[in-house]
Amino acid sequence: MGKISLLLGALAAACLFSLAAGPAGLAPDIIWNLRLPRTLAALAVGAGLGLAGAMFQGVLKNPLADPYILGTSAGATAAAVLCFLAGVERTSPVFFLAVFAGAFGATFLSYWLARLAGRLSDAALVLAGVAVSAFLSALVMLALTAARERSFSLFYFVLGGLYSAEPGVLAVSALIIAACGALAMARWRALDAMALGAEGAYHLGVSPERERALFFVFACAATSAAVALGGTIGFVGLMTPHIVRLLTGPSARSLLPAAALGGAALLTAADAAGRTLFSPAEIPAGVVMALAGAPFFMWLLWRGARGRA
Amino acid sequence: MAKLLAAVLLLCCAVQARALRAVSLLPSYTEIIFELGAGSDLVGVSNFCNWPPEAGRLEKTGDYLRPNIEKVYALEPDVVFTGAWAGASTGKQLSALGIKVVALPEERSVADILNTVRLIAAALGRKKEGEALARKLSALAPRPPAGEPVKLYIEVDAGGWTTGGLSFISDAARLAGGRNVFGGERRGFFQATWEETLLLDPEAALLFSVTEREFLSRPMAGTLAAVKAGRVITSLDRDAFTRPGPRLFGEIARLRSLLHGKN
Repeated sequence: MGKISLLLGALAAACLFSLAAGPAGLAPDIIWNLRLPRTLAALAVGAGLGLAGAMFQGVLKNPLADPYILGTSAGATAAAVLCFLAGVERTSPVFFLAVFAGAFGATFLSYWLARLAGRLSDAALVLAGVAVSAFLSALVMLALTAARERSFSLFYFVLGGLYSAEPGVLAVSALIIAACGALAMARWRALDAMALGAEGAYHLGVSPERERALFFVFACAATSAAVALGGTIGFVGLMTPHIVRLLTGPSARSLLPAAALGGAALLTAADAAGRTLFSPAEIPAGVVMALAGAPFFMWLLWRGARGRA
Repeated sequence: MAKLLAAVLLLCCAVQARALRAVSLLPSYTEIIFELGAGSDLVGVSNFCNWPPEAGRLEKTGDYLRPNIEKVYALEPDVVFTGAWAGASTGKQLSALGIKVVALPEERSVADILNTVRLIAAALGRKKEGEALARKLSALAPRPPAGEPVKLYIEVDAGGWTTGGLSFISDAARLAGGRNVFGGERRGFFQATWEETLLLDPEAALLFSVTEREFLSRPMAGTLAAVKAGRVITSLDRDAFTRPGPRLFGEIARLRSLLHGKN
């Protein structure tokens, strides 16, 4: 129980930091109208990415899986950029559907490519994800080059940040993320069974293919809602499950909610740091997360290598 | 023999009179060259050079940070104008190919732009035209108008991308009778937090990439003095104001009349 309160304490601290820190001090107007919506956006995006990371890592049994590494975010971003160029409003259902389609398509492509190699290895999945992400990022750059007039604001979106989250997008995204969390929680047993491997899961009466497909849909939906709100923000989904697993243990029953809370705390703190450290200049949350997350990824690889040695 | 001598002389004169072949790798340089009346000397421009309209019909050499060196070389230019700041490697590569490169310093004030005009004019052998153009331009924006400057927020790109005191844009605002609220920052282009912008409470907002509706939808935008006074300006030309070129001076005059009325 003490461990859960540690997590809640971290979340509360992150929220407090985000609400209290800024050049205007503790002006109530600013806290209520400016920092609160932004904090809510960071909480939603962080929770969505944390959840997606926990789902991907669980269902793929791969400690390196995360929406950023698998190409899910890149797929969502590419779809979002195409929507902007086509003039689709960010609050329209078409936008969310397109972003989800991009996320799911990219993830499925990575998975399918990795499966071609036969046994689904950790490395093959990461490699496939890198290839898919690289291609999609190149597509986005091409689109940005073609769309000269608006390319800067789009570039900003690709970088990932929460400068001005529209209330409409925030509401829809938060709803999608909450729904994904609830649906995933309802199937925590299946996710635990998947941890035993396909055969083990099968013996527990769980259909691995069906569960994999379902969790892919949940994770992609959560990721696409997060991208719609905050652009491409990496490493939240990778780091969070590893950190909270130390507190909760491996069962999805406690890992999933903890990943949502932990991701929310992590991104809220990163966003608050990004807008206060070099004030009045702002560092996008995506850049702050990459600065913290890339070394974490290296550490995971190093630890993995030592584990095998 | 006399005929031959005359022919040789004529040929020499023809070579002398042959127009310079110039390539401009920056939109502002292209605009200055056309304004100097030397547009016909240009054989190539960057992909971003879209003004004057004739520039759009010239050969394109890529973007200014990474121009297509082979394309520039193939145009056989006598002189290439590039920014000294825009990656030294461009100038080095072109010089190594035996092409004369004029690398111009970055403009950090409006006066620097006039200096660029003179440098380009000199390199094109048009010193006199350069002086005349510099005089004409500085007459458009001679000095700040009398009276208190208007506190001005300048958003160049969506998401709070603004300029600090190290940009000519800040100086242009000063000449128009404004005071860039971020002018005290020792930076060029940077992303300012919205909270800081609200705190600085500008009396006018100059927007180049967002619509007024988008701007007003930001949290607490309605509390800004600029919004209360109805001074959200979206009518100035982004390219003209954000390029250190001749069109900026007309924009300064327009901003000046928007901020201080016609005086």
